[in-house]
Amino acid sequence: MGNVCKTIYGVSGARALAAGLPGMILALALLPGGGATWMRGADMPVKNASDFSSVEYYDPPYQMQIKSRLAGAQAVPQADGRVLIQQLKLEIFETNGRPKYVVEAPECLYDQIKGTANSAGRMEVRQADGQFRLTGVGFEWRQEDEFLILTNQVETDILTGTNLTIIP
Amino acid sequence: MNYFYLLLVAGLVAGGRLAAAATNEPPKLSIHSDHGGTFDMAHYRTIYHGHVTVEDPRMHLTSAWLAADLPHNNNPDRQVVAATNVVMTFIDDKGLTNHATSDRAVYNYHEAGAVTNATITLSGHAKLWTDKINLAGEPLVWDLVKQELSSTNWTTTFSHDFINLNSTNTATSRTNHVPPHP
Repeated sequence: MGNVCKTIYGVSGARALAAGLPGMILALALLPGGGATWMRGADMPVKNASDFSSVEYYDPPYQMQIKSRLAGAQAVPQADGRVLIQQLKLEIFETNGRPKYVVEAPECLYDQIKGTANSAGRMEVRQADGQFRLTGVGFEWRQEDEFLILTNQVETDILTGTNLTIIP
Repeated sequence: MNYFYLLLVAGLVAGGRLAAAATNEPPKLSIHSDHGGTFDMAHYRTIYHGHVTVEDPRMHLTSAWLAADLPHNNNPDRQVVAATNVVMTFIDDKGLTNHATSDRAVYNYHEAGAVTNATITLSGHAKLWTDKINLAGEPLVWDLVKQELSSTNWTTTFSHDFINLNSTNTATSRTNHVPPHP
């Protein structure tokens, strides 16, 4: 990315609040030569964008800390108001700014109103410090309570290190 | 580091050698579920449904349901619960194959000041056996700190050979005595 964030995503403040996303700013950083195109989806005009990111901040007293950063290679608005995100990368941070999780999926449908993302495809969650990795096929992620439902082929790898001891 | 909650069963191989990795990949423990599960990202807890399998270089576990606290830096306390048709197989330090079955298996690790508690509790038709000995109790409690195996209701007996299969798993005579049958 590294391009100038050019516009604010087409979500009204009221909608954002209704979705439980206060402080949500969805900025579209456009690829060189890749212009944003206005599209009409349901009653909400949104943009078809490339290489975008969205940042959500914690509620007070941590309002200066980023809670999550959602990024994707492309966002395509759907007729039902959801957005098809390709090459999703979601980073979640602790209130002290420390990275917590990284979530990646080839694509998913993001519902701005409900604050959910889902896909029938593959996804991966990694703890930022690399201690574990969780993958699955088919998922729904609820933003408000940070809850992930995986439907098939759930696999978790936990690094045990070379000095595994029963009693630390 | 407190890696241990990693698996309740690892307690059953206390003293077991770490299998020397033939590759450069770091040792890992894998949990697989065919039927899906959930991940509470805020509380670092995963729940697996359906045919759940757990694998690491020393053991194999299957159950119909399993909940595990994933590692995180903020809290050393851990709990892993496996439920319904819990079947475990593990290789001890002497290369002997051990088996355990129960309806429910719970690993608990708790730190309070300088005091550490770590137990594995098998309940519901709990059994432990090798090709030499069978043991059943309700529940079977393995204290990983004291290295003691105990039960409030032995339903069969076991020998010192069993307890000493692993050199670090020495049980005290107190926990190894056979209570009278009612």
